[in-house]
Amino acid sequence: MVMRIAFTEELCTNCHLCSMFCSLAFTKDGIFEFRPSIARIRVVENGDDTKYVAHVCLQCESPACADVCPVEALAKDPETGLVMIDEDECTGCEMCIEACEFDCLFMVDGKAVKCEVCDDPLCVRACAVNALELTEWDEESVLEQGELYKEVRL
Amino acid sequence: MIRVTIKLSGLLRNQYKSTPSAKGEEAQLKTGSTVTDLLTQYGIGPKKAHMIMVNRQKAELTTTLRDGDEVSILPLAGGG
Amino acid sequence: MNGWMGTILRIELTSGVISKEVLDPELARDYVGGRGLAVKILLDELKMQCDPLGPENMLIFINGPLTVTGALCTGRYAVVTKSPLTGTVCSSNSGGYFPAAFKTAGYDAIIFSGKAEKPVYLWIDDDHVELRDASNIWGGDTRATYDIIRKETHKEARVACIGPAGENLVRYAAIINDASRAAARSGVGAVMGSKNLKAVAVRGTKGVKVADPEELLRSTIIADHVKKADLGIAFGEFGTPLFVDIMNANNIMPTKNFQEGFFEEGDEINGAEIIDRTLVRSKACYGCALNCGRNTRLPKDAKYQGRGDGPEYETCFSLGSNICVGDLEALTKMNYLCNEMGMDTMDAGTTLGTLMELYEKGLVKDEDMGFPLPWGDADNAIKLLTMIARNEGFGREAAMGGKYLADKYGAPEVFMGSKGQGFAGYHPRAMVGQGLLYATSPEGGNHTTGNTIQPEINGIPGPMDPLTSEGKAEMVISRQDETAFIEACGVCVFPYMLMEEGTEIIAEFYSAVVGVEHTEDDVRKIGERIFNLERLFNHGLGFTRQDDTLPERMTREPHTDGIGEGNVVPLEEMLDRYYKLRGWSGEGVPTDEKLKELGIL
Repeated sequence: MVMRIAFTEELCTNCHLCSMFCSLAFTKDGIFEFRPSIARIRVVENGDDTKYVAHVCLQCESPACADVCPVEALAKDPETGLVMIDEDECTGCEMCIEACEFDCLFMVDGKAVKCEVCDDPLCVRACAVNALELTEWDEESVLEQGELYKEVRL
Repeated sequence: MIRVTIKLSGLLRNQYKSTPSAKGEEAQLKTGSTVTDLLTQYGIGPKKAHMIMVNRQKAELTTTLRDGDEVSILPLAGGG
Repeated sequence: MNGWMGTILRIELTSGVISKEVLDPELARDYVGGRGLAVKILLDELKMQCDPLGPENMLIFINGPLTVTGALCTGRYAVVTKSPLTGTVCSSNSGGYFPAAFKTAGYDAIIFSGKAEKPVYLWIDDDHVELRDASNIWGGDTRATYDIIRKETHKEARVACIGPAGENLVRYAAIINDASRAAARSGVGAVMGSKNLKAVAVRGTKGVKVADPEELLRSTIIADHVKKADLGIAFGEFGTPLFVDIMNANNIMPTKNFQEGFFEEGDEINGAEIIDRTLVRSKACYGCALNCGRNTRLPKDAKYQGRGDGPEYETCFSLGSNICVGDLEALTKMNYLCNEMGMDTMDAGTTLGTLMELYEKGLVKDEDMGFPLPWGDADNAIKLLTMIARNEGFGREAAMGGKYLADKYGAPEVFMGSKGQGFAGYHPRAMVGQGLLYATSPEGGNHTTGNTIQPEINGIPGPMDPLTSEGKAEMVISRQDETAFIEACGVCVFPYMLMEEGTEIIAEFYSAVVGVEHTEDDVRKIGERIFNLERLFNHGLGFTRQDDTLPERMTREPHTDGIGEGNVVPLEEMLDRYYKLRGWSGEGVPTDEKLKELGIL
């Protein structure tokens, strides 16, 4: 059973609490920091301020990011089905970021990062309007969310 | 029988919206009814009625209503 | 440093010199941030007697240690300066997304001094800071400016800017951030305009350290609790305009320039109407779980067109009930206009209300303005607002504000404000504690320094008669001190002021962020210190008890039909008790003893 973070656009209020708390989970060296610029989930407004969209990895069945990675740092984990990055292998070439048509990979301190679905996702906990959900992967909703991401780009 | 106007604000208005902008709906009650009786008729729990006004004066759940009264049920306030 | 970024950015606009300095940890400990720290800096550095619109005035943008930390409602900033409207020290607060941006860029505060020779804007990209030419955007409205600057700098940049009103030194000009949020009061926009500073654009990628993240995770639980409590959900659904119903019902909705407390057409301009007719969706500020923001749009078939955020409750009063406009579309249009031109909707409304009353009295005539201005005339109000922003015709006079107009046209008693700034949307005759608040607020008719709704109208924590002086001095002092601390933290007052345990909760968050245990009493003490510092500042400018005042319409004219009919504000007796409890002299001056106790002396 592959899990992913599902996002419901109609509920989003553009508060960015998801990004804030996601960043807390990726604290390093014993420092606790809210640093939204390292978050694996990023929120963007569309041009006329009618849509708020949180981009978070869809855990694609055939991930384009994994296909283009020249050093095979990106791969689908056979057990969990999640698309994972090997931080040590990543050279920061940014090809995965270009390849992802959903804007769900981000550069942080010279390396690519993406959502790898935490056991207890802080983004889901932090969202006060239940716009995020830890849920089972299903093609229909993933396609729908993908269309939204192509419409409102980061 | 008496006729009163009930106006709902905040969340109650969402639950019981009967006019396009909930500017007040007419309710019929037995003579001698109280605010509680009116709330019961609408299925509104008394705890939801944070602030009760009858004819623009503060009232209680026990206030007796009269024909032509305007009853407002309001939520807590905040500011800004 | 936990909480603070540790750096203050200084921009000397006359020379163009940009410098960074280390934040003094002792100042941070004693004054925290926001208006506390900024007023301390002004007290130490500002030439007090300076012209607020002259180059010697300082303009400070300041967030707080809790900004971007996961504390409840974690994204506010303050603009602190000497006000050209009141002549006092002032602090104007705003939300949106800009405050979080300059925090994560690495700065606790940005201090502007001097005056640029030509229009400029400041661009901050983390450590990179530069002044850029703004001549091609000078004159533009705030939305156009926001769009252009984002294109010129970075698509993720957040922008705070002035519109034509600030450029033209309208005394109640605002600084608009994110195209729709406002540091609105006390004319801070005019100070920015007087420095030829068009905008500040920021992008930040740094992090805010916290000592105890577990405690901050609790905020998600508290937010859940606040939302589930009816007020929380209602707030998010209806926004602040929810309060139109409540204020109107309590005879507190100022109508017709505060002549009355009940607006017949209140139902036309409330939260429910907005949902039905103009709401696009609810919107939250950065880091906020309450999403009280109103993203709205005028319908295609409406008489007026436009989109933006709002109106908020205060605007429903100032440009609605106060001037007898019961048409949501006209009100919304005026709201958008003020945002685009960069003006405080509240004093725009006070000014219009004053003018309408002067007009009714025959003291201001058609020939003076170029058109009539009877109560409720939205079309001419819209016309006048544009003229004010653009410094045209009678707009030049109206740009000076309600007090100026009332004095000039021979009826000073019709200005509904104190220290030159208009009151907020709460009629003090039916809520007398709020009257004491208005009279003792550092910048005049401001309500945000300690809004008394919770105790006086909601009866939390215990029942309180809104019509008498009983318990009011203690209550107002408590609200003012709490609010001063909360604002200094760089967070939004709403959730803390609406929860009974609000002060306890912010003390816990503060302790968790900075890593030093602070009790509720500790934070109240800091708040008290901040409030006294502002008082000291104003005293130095010559403000006395004579200025802690309300118009006779409040203290002598009996309230009209509804709750509190016949009531007046017993200001003098409340003031006597208030000064005593504050440890000030009978003339309202903080005693040396009190200042020593607070560590100010």
